[in-house]
Amino acid sequence: MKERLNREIRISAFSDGFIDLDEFESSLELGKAIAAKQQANISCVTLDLRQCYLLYQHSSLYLDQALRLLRVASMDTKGKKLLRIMTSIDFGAIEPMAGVFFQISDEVSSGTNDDLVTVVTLINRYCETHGIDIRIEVYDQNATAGTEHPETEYVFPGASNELAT
Amino acid sequence: MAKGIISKPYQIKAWSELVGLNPLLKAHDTLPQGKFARLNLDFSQVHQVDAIGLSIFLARVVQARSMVSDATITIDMPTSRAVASTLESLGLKMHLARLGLELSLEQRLFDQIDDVPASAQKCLLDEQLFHWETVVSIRPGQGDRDQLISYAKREIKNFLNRDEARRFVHEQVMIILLEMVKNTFDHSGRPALLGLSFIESSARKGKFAFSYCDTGEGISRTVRHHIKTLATQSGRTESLDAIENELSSEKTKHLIRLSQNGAFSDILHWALQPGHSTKSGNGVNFGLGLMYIVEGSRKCGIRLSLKEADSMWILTQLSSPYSHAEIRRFGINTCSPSLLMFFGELEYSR
Repeated sequence: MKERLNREIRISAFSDGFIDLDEFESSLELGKAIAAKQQANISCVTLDLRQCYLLYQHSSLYLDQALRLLRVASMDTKGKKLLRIMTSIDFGAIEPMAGVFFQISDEVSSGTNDDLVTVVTLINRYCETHGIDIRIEVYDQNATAGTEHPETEYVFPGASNELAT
Repeated sequence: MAKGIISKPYQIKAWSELVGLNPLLKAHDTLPQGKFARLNLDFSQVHQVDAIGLSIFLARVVQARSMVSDATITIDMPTSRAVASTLESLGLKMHLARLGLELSLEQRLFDQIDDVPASAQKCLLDEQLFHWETVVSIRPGQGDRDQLISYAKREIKNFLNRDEARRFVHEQVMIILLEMVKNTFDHSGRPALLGLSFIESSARKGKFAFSYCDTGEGISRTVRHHIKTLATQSGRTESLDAIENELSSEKTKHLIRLSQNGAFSDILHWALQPGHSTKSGNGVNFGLGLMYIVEGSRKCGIRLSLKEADSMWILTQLSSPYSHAEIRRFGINTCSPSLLMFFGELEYSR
C-alpha cells in the first residue's frame, strides 16, 4: 500500500484552474497536463474533479490520458493499477456514472456507445485486460479536504455501487 | 390605392402575479391560424414578477405566436416602476428578440412607466437576504447549435457562480439542465425558456428553483413517434428461430399498441426505463435519458415535477423500478393548457 502511495499521481482539476471541463479546450488542456506526468512505475492516478463542470462528450479527453498513463505503466509495473476519480456528482447507479465519465472513451471502447449497459461491460473488460481498477468516489460537496470519506463508490471491474461504511 | 384595414391587436395579457407557476393558470391564447396578426403583450396589470413566472409566460406567448404565420408585436408595460425594473433586469426585451418576438415599433420600453410608488414587488425582495434570478431563452435554428448551447451554459454558470457558498451541487444541476437544453435541440426544435431562481431568507433557509418550458410537441408525441419507428424496425426483423420470431411479433404488436393507444402514463413508463431514449443512435447526443434526469435530481435533493399535456407528475416521488400503477397514482390532471415543463425545487436550511 505504501509503495502504491509513493507512486501516486494526484491532480486537483479545480485548484489547477480546470473548472470548465464541459468545454473542449479546458478538457484538452487537462488531458495534456495529465499526459505530461508520464513516468515509470505509476500505480495510482487520482483525479479530483470536485467543483468542476463536466460534460460526457469531453470527459474522454482527460480520462483517456489518465488510463494511458496506467496502461503504459502496467507494462513495466507488477500489481494492480488504480484510477481514482473524486467527484460530487452522483446519478445513483453505475450506468449513468459510466456514461458521464466513459461513454465516449477511445481507450475503453474504441469509439462511442449509446447503450450505457454496454459501456459498463466494456469498462469491466478493459480493467480486467489491463489490470487497472477504476473507482469513482462520490463525496459530499461540503466535506472538508483531508478528512473526507466518500459517501458512495462505483467500482470497475465489478459493476457495483456500494455505500461507504 | 386601397387603404389597409387596421384591426385591433389581439391582447395577450400577462397574469397579474407573474410569479412561480401562476402563469400556468392563464388560458391558452387561440389566435386565428395561418394569418397575419397584431399582438399586444399586455403587462399593465402585472404587480409581481419573477424569473419562473416570466419564463412560463413567455413560453405561452411563443406557443400562441406559432399559430400565426406573421405578426407584429407591441407591448404595454406595467405601471409599477419596480416591476418594470425587474422585467428589465430579467432581460425581457432581449428575450423577446431572441424568441422571434421582436417589437414592431421602436418602443422605449422602460420609459413608459408612471412613476408610482414601488408595489409589492419591493416588499417581496426586502424580506430576502440573498435573491438572484435569471431567464435563459433558447431558440434552435437561430444560429450554430454548439454556440447556442454554449450561450445557455454560460448563462447557467453565471447564475450558479453567484452561490459562492455552494449550497447545492452546481456541477450536477448543470448536467441536468444541460440535458434538458440538448433535448430541445434534438427533439423539439422549438424555442425553450429556462427560469432560474435562488432565494435565501434571514433564517438561513433557502430555495433554488428552476422551470424549463419547451414549446415543442412534448414527450408524448416524440416517444409515440419513436415507438412507432421501433415497431416498424422490429416487424422487419426475421429470424430462423420460430420462438424468436414469435417473441419479435409479440414485441411489435406491443409497440404498435403502445404508440397508438397508450395513455401518457404508459408513454412515461416507457421513457423512464433504463436505456430507453429516443436519442439512441443519433450520433450527436447520446444523453442520459429521462430516468437519469429523475435519479440525478433525486440524488441532489431536487423535487422534480413534469408537466406534459394537461397532466403533472412529481417525478422524484416515483421510486425505481417505476411501475405503471405508481405512475398512474402520482399523475394529477390539471386544467392548464398543454405545455412541456420541468419544474425543480431544492429547499435547504443551513
